[in-house]
Amino acid sequence: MTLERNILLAFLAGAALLPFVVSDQYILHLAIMALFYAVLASSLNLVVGYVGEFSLGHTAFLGTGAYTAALLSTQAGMPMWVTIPLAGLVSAVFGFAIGAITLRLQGPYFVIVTLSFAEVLRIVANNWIAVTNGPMGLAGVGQNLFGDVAVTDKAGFFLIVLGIAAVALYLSYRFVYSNAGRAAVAVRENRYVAQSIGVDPFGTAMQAFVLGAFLAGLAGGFYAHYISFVGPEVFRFAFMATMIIMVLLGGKGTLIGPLAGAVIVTVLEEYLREVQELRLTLFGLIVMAIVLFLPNGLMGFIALRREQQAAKPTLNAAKERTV
Amino acid sequence: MTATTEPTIDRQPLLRADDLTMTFGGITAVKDFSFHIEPGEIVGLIGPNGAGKTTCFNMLTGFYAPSNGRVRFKGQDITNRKPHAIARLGLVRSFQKTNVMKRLTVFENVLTGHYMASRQSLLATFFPGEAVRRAEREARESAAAIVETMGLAQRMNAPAHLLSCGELRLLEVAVALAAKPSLLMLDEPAAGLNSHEAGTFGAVLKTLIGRSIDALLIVEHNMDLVMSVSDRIVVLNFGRKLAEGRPAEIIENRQVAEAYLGKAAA
Repeated sequence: MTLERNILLAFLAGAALLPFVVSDQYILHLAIMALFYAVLASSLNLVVGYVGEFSLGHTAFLGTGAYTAALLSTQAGMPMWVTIPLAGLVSAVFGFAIGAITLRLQGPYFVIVTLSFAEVLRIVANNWIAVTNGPMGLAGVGQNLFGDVAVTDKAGFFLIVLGIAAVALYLSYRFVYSNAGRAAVAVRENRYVAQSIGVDPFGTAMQAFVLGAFLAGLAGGFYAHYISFVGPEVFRFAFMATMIIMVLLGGKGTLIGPLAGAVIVTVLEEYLREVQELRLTLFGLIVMAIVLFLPNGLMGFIALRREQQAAKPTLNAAKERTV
Repeated sequence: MTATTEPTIDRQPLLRADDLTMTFGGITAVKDFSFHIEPGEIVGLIGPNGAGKTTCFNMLTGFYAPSNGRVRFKGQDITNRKPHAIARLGLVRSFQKTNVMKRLTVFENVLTGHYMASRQSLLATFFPGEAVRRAEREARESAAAIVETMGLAQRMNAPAHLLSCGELRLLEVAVALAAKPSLLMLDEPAAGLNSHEAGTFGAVLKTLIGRSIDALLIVEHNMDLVMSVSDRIVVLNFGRKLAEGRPAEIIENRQVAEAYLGKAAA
């Protein structure tokens, strides 16, 4: 718990120095995308790791956030400090509505219904031309942070996404290590025991689901401003596949896992650009290998190694931990 | 329980079930079963396999909705309430098939059991104040104390899936105790314990009354254990109440012996 927190803090502190050390725009772009994906993967992890159900519809919240920010910016000319938080809130409302339906389902039913919600939103975005401009998408999303102060360089965007990532990690950390987070784990591990100790499985799952939707909405809002364009592709399955790989590779149910997964996959994706056509095939193989050999991802692997190396836990150690 | 200051309230049983009936399709698992539990009591619920004991448990704790009948707990009607809502009133159960959170450690299991004591608003989750931190500290201290009471201190940080069968049963009780129930209901807690362990376990159970819990309902096949801990025993057979009384009376009861062993050849 403390170790995880310190690693996260060290990561954020190290990342904050990056724009002052690196001036290469290409590397900064990669770093921005890595952090953007880190927020997305962390938000998906709240659903996969703490509701314990596999959502294939997480792009619904990414897309909702992106469209919200794009509309507020292009129609009302609002700056980022307003649009991005609002994008999160609108996504959270969508999360509540979709969760109220899907969280009553479990297993494959949950997977299918979440997937269809994302698909329905994509079709709406594609066809509701009056609002979303259909397949043409919304172009020219503003890049001003406060009033007229515009973000002009990659370093500025990097600091913004770093701020969002810090918020996402802080909220996830607080949630996971709270009583509510333990309740969510109880539901995931054993629904019956959870109920018998007074946990409401539906309400607990809803908290994690809405928090995940909120964070994905923030990421979507940022994406809209950074790319300056939002089209129906934000609801496409490609984003979903990337998020899943990140969460599975890093290790679901941990905080560092999705972060590590996001960084590794973003870098790997760039590296594999050479073999464009083979990329998805390679990712498919990677996912299969993870599921087969590292079911708990990299973090699970590391935890296992630590467990094996640690001497038998003594009573004193247990007592120390509880103080 | 403290001295009787308000006799009218104290005379009310802690739990009272009236005419509970449960049918599954054409099969009646439990029929018109009525009983009650007084504060301070340990009640044993026994009966041959398939008598309907676990079905009773599930009806009392909201996991099944009874086909007929009512359950009152602390004077409130809890029939058809959700399991978690019933648990929040202080009626906490364990399960016959061992149910713990296998991937969590012993300590984490028991800490999770403190859910109700440390429930907080979402705002307090994200921006914890001193009250939340204190609740968390208290939950951790209490969890460690419960683990020690149940004799699992050596296994504090062992993941639950590494525990022996007997240790798992103890852990299950520890998790239930962590929820600070007023009525604890244990479904075959001594299954898998050897006779020595069962004896120790019975002694632990007796110390809980009045200290950690108000009353205990125990379903158990280990007769030595049931007879030694129970103040009163209720016998179920084929879904109906066959007998009720003090352990000594039940041992003497011919019908009970017949239910378990069959009629002696005449």
